[in-house]
Amino acid sequence: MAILGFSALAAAEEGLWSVGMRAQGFYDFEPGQDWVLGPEIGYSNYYLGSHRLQLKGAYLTSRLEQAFRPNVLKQDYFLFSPVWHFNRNGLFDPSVQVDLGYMRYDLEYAFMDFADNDSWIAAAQVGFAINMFQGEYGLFYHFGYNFIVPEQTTLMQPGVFGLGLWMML
Amino acid sequence: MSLTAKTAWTCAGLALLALAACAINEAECDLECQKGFWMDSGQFPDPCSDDSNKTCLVSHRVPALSDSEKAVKNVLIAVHGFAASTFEWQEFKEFAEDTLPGYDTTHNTLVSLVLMGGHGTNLDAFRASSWKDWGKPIVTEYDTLVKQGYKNISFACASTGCALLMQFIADGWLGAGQAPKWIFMIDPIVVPSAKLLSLINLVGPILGNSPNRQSPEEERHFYVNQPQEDLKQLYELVNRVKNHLESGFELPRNTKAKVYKSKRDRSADPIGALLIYKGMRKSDGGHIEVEMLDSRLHVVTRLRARDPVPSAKDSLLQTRIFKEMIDKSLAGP
Repeated sequence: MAILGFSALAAAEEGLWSVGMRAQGFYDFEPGQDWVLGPEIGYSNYYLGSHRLQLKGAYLTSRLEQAFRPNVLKQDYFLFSPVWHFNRNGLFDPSVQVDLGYMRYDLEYAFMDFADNDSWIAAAQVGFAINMFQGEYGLFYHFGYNFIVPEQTTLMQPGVFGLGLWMML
Repeated sequence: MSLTAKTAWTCAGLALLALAACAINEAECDLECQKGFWMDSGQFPDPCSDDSNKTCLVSHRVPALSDSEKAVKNVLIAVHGFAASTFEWQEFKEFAEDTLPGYDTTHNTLVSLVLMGGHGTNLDAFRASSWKDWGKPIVTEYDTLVKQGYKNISFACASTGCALLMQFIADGWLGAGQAPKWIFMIDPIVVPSAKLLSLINLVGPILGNSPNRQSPEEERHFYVNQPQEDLKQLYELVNRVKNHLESGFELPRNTKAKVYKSKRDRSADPIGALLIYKGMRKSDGGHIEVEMLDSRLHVVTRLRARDPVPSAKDSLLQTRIFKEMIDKSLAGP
């Protein structure tokens, strides 16, 4: 809803739209990493801090990984991420961002019906982007801490990182 | 501020942080511990750490059985959890081997209490051990029993003991020859409830030693201090198991398994039961059995020395699980 709301507001102004892929995982240093992957859209305009503030929305899922590992849990993440760019026009662009959103996973079997299978997300992250071809294309990496991690029935962990790429529309 | 002053302040800050980290890392030892009443002290070792009295391992305990007796004897190898000791399965051993009113097992079941490597002795031995060390006595006892001629061997494991069994089965280290009959898993740990454990490699020096205070009697049978080295080993093990489960693996041919998992568990996240159900299949591709228990205890099969005293419902659960494990392992294929 938040993504749609901001998208509607953004549509009223002239701005820069981007589309890309984002992969996200948890910072655990060990094999067994759960990756979620999916599309991400971004929007900025002159009135949002001279394009320094970018609003991103992403849907990330582990369903693609099931092609390779059939027993991974089916997880879905819906994220809204305001990003502040410190050097939007430069090649190397440090950034800070907040991830706000919601995650859920399929319980699949009746014996798990007692479990809470969803959670809100609130994470703070720092990162950087590499702007190529005057910002037409780029790569990004960010890492940080998710402040909402339930103790029970979740694969979520506090340390979070993401990487991806985008192109301007 | 001059560069020299900045450098001096920076060095002082780093030194203070290092001191703070060392203070947190220091192993806790109160008066009870200093008197030797904690297992950590090394003065109160697990009785099975030196099995000279031959009361723990079935391979040591009853070598005098004839081959025909060994062939029909039902042996359950009981494997305890992280920082625990054979105390965790003592109640089950007594239940299975003693004649109980209304439930005479006719002494056909023997319980082999395996003490995991690095456990049950002292904190330094625990700190120096890896998860592979923890699991070696399990494989050794199983292989020895097979060599001695026992045909009906099953496992009962708790928490980290189950993670070790799954790791060994997935790697083909266990059951490649003679397969175990049943594997009963009590609160197997695949995903820890304490999610901060995932950052142990990053913040281990800050998190430090993580003492886990329990009832006075429990502190004689479980390590109170849990060094970061062991927490790292634990996290490496459970992540490997999770990886195996997500890729999928099969139990040895004809081996069956049942998972008993508490719905509310402060140590092992119940989501682990779902991962095991999906990822660990019988050799014919079928699912194993899973039962979610209406309990808040981690390893409900160990009720002795708990504080507060467990509920009557937990006692009933414990007895039912004990009977079910014995009945299933005694039953035909």
